[in-house]
Amino acid sequence: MERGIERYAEGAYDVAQRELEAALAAAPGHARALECLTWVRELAAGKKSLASGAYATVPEEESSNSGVSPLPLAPIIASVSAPSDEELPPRLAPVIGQLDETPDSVTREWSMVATTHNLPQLDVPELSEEQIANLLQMDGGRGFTLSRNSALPGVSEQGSAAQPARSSAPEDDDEEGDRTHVRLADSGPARVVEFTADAEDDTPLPSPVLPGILADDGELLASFSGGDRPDQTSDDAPSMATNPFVSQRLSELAAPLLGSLGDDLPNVPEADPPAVSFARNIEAALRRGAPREAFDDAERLAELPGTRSGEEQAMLSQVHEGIVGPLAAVPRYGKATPSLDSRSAFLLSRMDGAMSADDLLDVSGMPRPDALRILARLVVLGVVIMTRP
Amino acid sequence: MAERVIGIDLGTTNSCVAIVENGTPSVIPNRGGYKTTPSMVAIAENGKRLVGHIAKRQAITNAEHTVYAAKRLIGRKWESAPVKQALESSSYRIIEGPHDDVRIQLRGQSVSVPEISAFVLQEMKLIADEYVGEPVTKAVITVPAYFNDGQRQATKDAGKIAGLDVIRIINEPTAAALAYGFGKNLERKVAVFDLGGGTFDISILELGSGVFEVISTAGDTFLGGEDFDKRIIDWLVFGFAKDHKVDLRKDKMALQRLKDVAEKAKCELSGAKEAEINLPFIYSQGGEALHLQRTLSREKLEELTADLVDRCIQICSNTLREANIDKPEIEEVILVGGMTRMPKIQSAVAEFFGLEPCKGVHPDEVVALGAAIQGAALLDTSSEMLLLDVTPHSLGIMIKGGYFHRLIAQNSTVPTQASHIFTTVKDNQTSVKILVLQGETDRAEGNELLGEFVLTGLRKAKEGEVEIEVTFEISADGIVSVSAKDQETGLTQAITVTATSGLTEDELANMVEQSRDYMVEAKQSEDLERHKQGAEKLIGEIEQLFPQVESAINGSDFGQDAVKKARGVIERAHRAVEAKDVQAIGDATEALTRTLNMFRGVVHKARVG
Repeated sequence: MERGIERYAEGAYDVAQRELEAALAAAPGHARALECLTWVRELAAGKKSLASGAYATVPEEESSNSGVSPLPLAPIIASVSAPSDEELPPRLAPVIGQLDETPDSVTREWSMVATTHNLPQLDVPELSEEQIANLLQMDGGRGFTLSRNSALPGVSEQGSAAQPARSSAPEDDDEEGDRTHVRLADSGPARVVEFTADAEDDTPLPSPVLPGILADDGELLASFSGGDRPDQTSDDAPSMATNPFVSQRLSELAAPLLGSLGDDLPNVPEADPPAVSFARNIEAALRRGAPREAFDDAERLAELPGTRSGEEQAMLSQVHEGIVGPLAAVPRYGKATPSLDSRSAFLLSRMDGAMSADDLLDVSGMPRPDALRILARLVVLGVVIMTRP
Repeated sequence: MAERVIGIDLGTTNSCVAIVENGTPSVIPNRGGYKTTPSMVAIAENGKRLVGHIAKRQAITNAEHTVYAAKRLIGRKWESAPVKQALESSSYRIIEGPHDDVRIQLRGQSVSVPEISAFVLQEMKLIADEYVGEPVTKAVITVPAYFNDGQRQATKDAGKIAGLDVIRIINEPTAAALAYGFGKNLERKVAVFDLGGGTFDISILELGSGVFEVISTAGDTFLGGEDFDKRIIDWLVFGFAKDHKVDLRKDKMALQRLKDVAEKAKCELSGAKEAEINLPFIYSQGGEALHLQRTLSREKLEELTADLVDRCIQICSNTLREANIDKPEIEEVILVGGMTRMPKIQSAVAEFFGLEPCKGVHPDEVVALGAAIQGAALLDTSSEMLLLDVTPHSLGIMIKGGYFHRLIAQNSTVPTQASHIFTTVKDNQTSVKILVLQGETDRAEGNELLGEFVLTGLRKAKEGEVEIEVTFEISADGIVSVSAKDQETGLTQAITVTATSGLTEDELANMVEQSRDYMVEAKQSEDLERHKQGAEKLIGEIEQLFPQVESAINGSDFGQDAVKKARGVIERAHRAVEAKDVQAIGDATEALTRTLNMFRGVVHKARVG
């Protein structure tokens, strides 16, 4: 089901439909999968469209217009957080940090995509007026003092006419044309933000006006850029919470963020512990089915002092098994390497060209997870190649 | 197909299995292509049982849970000297069993020695099963000539636990001589010089007219190839310590690599004058990798092991002297065991016996080949070959004064029978106690008690007047029957001495059942893995074809449906694999095969237009 949601988010409805159907085949009657599948099917059939408002129901006569496929659609999350220029709210005070001392800079684009599928789904409350006020007050009401954005695609004009559903930006923001605009959308249980950034700043900054989702430390967890963004002008369009994908994704993504919102929040929240950061990256790569991409982070996580939790260990083993492949395969010598540690050399010395990887781990003389990690590293280095038995 | 029987050389360090096919004996190689399999058993960290080469490759790094040389302990009493000696030298934990026997502690479980040997025999059986293509159940197993009845019985029990019907236990030198003399119809006295990985045996046999008789046997159960390896390891370790101030023996992984390379170098030096020893990255010190690189010459090896070779020759000398055999009587020396490939051993033997040792037999295989020949002869009723085994120790009873009276002498050919008349020792003695003993010392207490019984109802008379005839009988299977008969009345009392391996009948039955369950599980697991691999291969091939198929059938409702179904098939296969359901995987594999064929057809059609 997760794969279906991912494909859906990427706009690949047909693949998403197949994945969800497969999920339902595996777990018939799964309510969530059924709901998502219905949604996808309606989109694919043209009964729903994003063209004239997010997830507005298309009249029957339109949907029956065969031969007209739905418009190319941007990922759902992007669409809900990327309103038209007219919708831009007055600027909000900053919520993530003191950037007023940042020198003029070149605008940069962030393209990190958060994949937090395995985060626990929490019941996240919507931000109240009071919480927003607290956020503003926390920053001293000074706001970001970044410049008006340059002409990047999708950059919105500040001070646009569209009224925010919930915002309270300082009035002087409009006068200070060199500030970043941070918009806090209210249409769902997530903190969706938009940024503009100074065009001459050397510091890596959030993408201008590209919508995103913030982590506790102000880091942009997700940004959405590129593609055609559908207008979202219909006042009576269903809120994004009605979209099962959006509600799930956003609640998952926002959960860890909103959980920290309180009166005593520090101005600049601490960064995630390295283990969490590594684990998050590893999980994302695993979700993409790319254990090799996760390997470096897995190595860093494994090298961290202290004992790895059961979940972390399982994740590491998943990465290493993903690299090594089926343990029935036979490891053989690959290319030579000028440098090895003694444990790796020992593992290599146990190989005989006939022993399976599974047996090799048994004779390694070290705990199985350790041996698996070393074997994975040797495979990544090309020192060991895995062959069919 | 005719019934098959295999011959197994259950060695202290290596085992070998052979079979006779079309009248020719041959050794069966194991899965790795090796003709011998290490007699090692280990339990891995995850509880998996490791046998043979795989156990050997982790023997040092998992020393506590790796059993080697179990043969030194099989059928031994807890209080016996060899057990005490093994206690001092073994890295695994040896504990006392419930019946004055020996058990081994492995990963929290107490395992009997016959069970350990059964694991090795089971591996040999599997090798034969795969070779023959069907289960082989009958086997002849070899044991050292000095093994007593308890040790032989324990070996038989091990075979039973392994699922084998052990039709005969024969002496190793006998088997070697059998293979040596196979088809030659020789009549001569031969010496079998057997230096294996862990033990040394010297036996003198009389060969003649198809009869093979062990005249004398002796040896050292703690002298073998491993001692030679240790000398090389020490040489390497001290050299490395001198260069780097590091004691490699403290690093288990380094020591394991040293052991492997020492054995390899030793073998190389049987054919070459020098052996390069190269162990890169053997040790890491302060972030720097240290390498071990040395050259070992044959001369150096001979210098390092000279005393070991001398010990072998000294034992030969003692054996000939005790058996009253002059060296010139020996017409042939048969070399058995991998260590006899060492040129220094061969020259020392040649020098001692005054004749070049026989080069016509393979030292690693000759015993198993002999066992296979014996097995084939036992099944072939038309065979004229007569193989006589001997009783390894003298048999007798305890008499007045605590002395041991021999009825059957050591090395007597079995089957055999012997009787002797005894009298009462007291006036009006109405019963007599018969204590059956086995051993070589004149004092009864120094020998092994095999059994006892009482003959009652004797006539009251003065001492020495009532005569009792005691008869000992040993069957071809080594079963000892002892009877005592009142000569006057004919009243008889008898016992059958069945050697005990230290296991009760219930224990043995339980072990046989457990072993059978294990084999069933192992087979199921193997089947599952095979099915799983097959299904995963098909899935991979189908998934590779998906883009081409989707492209080919784009726009066709029928095609879309097929693609959808294909994904369903793959999903079902994944579920079956996860559930470890062999039947379901098999069903899914059929569907996957059909899907793959369909996909290939679609792709082919698209290509050819």
